[in-house]
Amino acid sequence: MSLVSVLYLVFLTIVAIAYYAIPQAWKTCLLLIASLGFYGINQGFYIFILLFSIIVNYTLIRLWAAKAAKPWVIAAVLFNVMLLGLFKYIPAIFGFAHNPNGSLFQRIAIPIGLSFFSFQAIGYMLDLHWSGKKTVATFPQYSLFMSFFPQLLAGPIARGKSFIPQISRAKSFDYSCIVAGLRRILWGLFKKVVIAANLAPYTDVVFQNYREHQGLTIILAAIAYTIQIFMDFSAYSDIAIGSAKVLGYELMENFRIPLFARSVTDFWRRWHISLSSWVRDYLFMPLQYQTRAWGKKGMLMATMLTFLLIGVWHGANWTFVVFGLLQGFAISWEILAVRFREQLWKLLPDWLSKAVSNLTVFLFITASAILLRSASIGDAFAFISRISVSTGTVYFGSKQLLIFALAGMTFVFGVDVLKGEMLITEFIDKQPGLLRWSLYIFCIIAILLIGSLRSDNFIYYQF
Amino acid sequence: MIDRTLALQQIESIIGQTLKQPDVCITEQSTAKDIKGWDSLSHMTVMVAIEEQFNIKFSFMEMINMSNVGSMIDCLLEKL
Repeated sequence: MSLVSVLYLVFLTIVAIAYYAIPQAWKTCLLLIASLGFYGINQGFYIFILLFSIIVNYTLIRLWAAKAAKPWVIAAVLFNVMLLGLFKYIPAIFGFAHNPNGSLFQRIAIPIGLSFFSFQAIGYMLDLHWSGKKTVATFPQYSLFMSFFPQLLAGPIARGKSFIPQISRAKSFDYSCIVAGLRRILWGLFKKVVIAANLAPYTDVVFQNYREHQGLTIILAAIAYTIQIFMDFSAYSDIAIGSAKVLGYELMENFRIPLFARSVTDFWRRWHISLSSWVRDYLFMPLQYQTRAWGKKGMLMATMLTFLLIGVWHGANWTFVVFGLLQGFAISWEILAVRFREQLWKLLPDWLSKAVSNLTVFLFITASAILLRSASIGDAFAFISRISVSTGTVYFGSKQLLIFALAGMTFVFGVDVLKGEMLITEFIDKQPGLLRWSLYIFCIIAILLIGSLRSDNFIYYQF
Repeated sequence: MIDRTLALQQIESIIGQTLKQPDVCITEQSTAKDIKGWDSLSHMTVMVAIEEQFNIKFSFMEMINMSNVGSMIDCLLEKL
């Protein structure tokens, strides 16, 4: 059941109606059944991996709560790392990459959402241990935290300390909450089907057959892919956050206009925030603490290791390692050259320094994103080297789809410029009724008329 | 013996110097989010500067459980 489907909207509607109709005491149970059912429908047999992870993690938490002993924390971290290794890294390293028609081992795929719920489990255990508080969630609460369907497949990665207290909070039907949630879902659907899905055929063709294309096409496809991946992933996050809001839950914001960032450091504070803040709190800060006697060298080492993990989190491929290291080097440079960069930007008028820094970051991210899309480092370099080829005509694919995507992009980025740091739901809420309804109708018509449901999966499911 | 007011003044001065914000104004309710330039990258530099000034060491758990400057002062005064 894709999040971009009528079936999902029907599922969400039924769950929401039942949720508000039953007494508070049964709400957690209902959401848990709905979440496990949702995962079972999507992932079949792999639901047992999720259940196994919940049971083992909760047992370790209970054992920790009995004595507050560090070995249980280490055991929980190792268990989750091993689970990730077993499904995500070991098969790829030993040549058992997923093949639905291959041997028994090759038929085992990575359970969707594994990277997300494993990180949630590690984060919850470390939060408990570091805070020293032995107030542990009940088993149903913990199970819902790990399996809540809106965020289960691709985040945002939830934190126990903000999610679990929401479970026991009384929730009654709240019109404004439902409207805010539906607005967010509509915005996500627009970004996914009008922009990301219309760009996908173009980027697929160029990236798969890059040897047949000339320089300008390569540049256009790389830019299109950066915008596609942003629209795709932020759309998923919008639908997840909106669905949770319909059910009275607040999830962490995952994007804050990242393509308008003025430095790579700033970009990573705005892109996939639930992952970047996770690695900041559970890896970067402890590393920085351990290496603080080394001053700036310690900070740089912590930065490089943190971004190496962000890279490796995406999967078992050297392209992801290089992607992570590139981000680490860029941020290290920004740490070392902070004064030089400040002086440099002061030489330019404010608007020009903003434009140049925006463009520089966008081009850096576009170049890095080629690594996320390429099968190997060799492929990525071969793709980039095609930029120098000037012979041949520029390929635009289906001009109609590109125009649809371009119109959608202009609209979304235009709204982003107008709303600035404000959340989209708050921005819409501040508009007069006529404009608000015009926006809803425009989005619905665009989704129905020019939206593409051809690709209903999200890019981040693979991570 | 150092009191809360003096500790707050010294912390304000250290933060101002470390973050190159000479006019920074800190209260016990201030958090890193309220202070320009105090982010995850500069956090440890600020903490090390405070440790050196007061000749103390914070544990990692103490550091991450400091919710604002007031709780930092509580922790600091316990160590003096």
